[in-house]
Amino acid sequence: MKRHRLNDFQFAILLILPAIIFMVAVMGFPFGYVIRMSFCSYDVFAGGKTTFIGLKNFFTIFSDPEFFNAFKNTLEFTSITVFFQFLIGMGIALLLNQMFKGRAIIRTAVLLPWALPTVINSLFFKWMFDGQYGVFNDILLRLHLVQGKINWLGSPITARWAIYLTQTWKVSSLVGLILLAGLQAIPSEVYEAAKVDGAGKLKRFLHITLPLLKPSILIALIFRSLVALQVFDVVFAMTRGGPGYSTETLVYNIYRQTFVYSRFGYGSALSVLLSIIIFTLGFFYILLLYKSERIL
Amino acid sequence: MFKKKIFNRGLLYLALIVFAVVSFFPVVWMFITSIKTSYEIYSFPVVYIPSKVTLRNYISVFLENPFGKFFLNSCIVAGTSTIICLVLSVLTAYGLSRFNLKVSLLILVFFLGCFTIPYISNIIPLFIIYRRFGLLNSYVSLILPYAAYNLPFGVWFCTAYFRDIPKSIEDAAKIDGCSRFGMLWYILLPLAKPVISTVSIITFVWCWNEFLYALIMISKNEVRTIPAGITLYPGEYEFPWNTISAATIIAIIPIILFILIFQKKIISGLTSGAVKY
Repeated sequence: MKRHRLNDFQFAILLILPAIIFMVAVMGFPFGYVIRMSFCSYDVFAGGKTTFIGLKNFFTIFSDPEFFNAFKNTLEFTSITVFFQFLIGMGIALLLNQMFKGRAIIRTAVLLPWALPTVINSLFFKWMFDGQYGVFNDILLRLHLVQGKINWLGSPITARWAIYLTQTWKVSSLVGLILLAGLQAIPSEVYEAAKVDGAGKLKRFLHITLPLLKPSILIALIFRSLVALQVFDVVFAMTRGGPGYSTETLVYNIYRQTFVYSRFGYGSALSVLLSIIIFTLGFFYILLLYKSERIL
Repeated sequence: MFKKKIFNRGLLYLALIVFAVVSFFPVVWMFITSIKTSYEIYSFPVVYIPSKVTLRNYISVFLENPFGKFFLNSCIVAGTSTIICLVLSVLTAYGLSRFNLKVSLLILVFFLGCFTIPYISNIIPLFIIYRRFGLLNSYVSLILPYAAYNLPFGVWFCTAYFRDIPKSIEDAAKIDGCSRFGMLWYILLPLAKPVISTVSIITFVWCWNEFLYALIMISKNEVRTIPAGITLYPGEYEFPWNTISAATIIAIIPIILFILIFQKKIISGLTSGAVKY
């Protein structure tokens, strides 16, 4: 046996320490800093003079209609996009689980939305949704499905749905992939046994596939929802939160308050509030996952 | 019976075609737009097959924008962040997986906890701190948060992978007099090639596409990355689709080449090897 200067335990700690120090410095410490800042008013122009104002920022938040607007928009965004991405993702997973030729093309088709930068993908759709020259209007008019051109990004409801569509397009393939992994983990014997018992396609799907996919679905649901709550890129690239503030989300609101109006203290408080929302939701999800695993 | 089979196959391929079309259409359409003349871009009803094809839009991209700079900056930032994240992940994973540390679960949970901090929460303090130290508009201002944000994922992936490597290999190497560092370098790393490529791919793509930090930390075009450079190009009232379409296509050429070449690896990486496609 070689004699080492450090024993195994010390060596292991030495290996782990750099990463931990790095995380604490770049993520942990700033997070503590923002919590402190949320209780202050920060004057950017006076060279960063911080004045402690207690919970005043938080009171301002709860009396600010723009915050509730952003909150409502974010909730709507999250629920609708997550719903559709799982619906379509499930369809994609079932589709991809079959045998067919031309896998390379389909692989590329699956990866393309994921690989594109969200802002660039948003620009593609912004162009397709263009009120004057966009392809979507053209197709709808040619099919006589509408009377005149729709100014998609110019009115609140259509703008929101344009964003939902764009985002759903971007992430459905990824969800599809994750669900596909779950599908392929189900042994075929289970289906064979069900077929022998006379179960039809729909029954097999509802009573075998879905229950066995539950853990994968739950985990994917957690991640996709927590990501969706923090949406920013699509909104910035397509509408900048407009028209008015009708497509503004929580993170966009934070961006606007902090970096456009220079209200750093207020923005910090908004960030802290968002963190609380996310932690709470994450906690509930994990509780749900734990419970369902117990039952399984 | 046979007829039903053909019908089902037909449906399958129809669905596949629809899927592929929906996936490719935005890109293809933008490409067609980019080679049209302004006259045909801004016409309605839409011109699907251009009568005249031009490269002028591509030329004006490079004339009007420091696009080459954006590309270089993206490469530098994404590349460096990926390397830092990889190195730290591998070291940490080695420490967590091969030494029977009792606190290893705690540390893994620590990393998971860091991951749940909302992305935007750290931007405000980091912005202020960087400002104080004059680090805004530098590569560092992006590289540090990028590496930190991908680290939990890298640590989890690498640790899981290292844990699966049988102890017998280690014991054999120890008998041959292998040092602990040598163990990492000569034994584990070669075996870890799959997980290293997975982590690098996912981290690199994430950094390349990142927008929020790139938007806020950098305000000078010389240091801008591609996503911010392209999105900020249009002004308040003008949206020159002729140039923007060309710019977006140029921006995604490397990405498209990338997924064309590494398809299988990416898919198996994204699903932790569960999908062998």
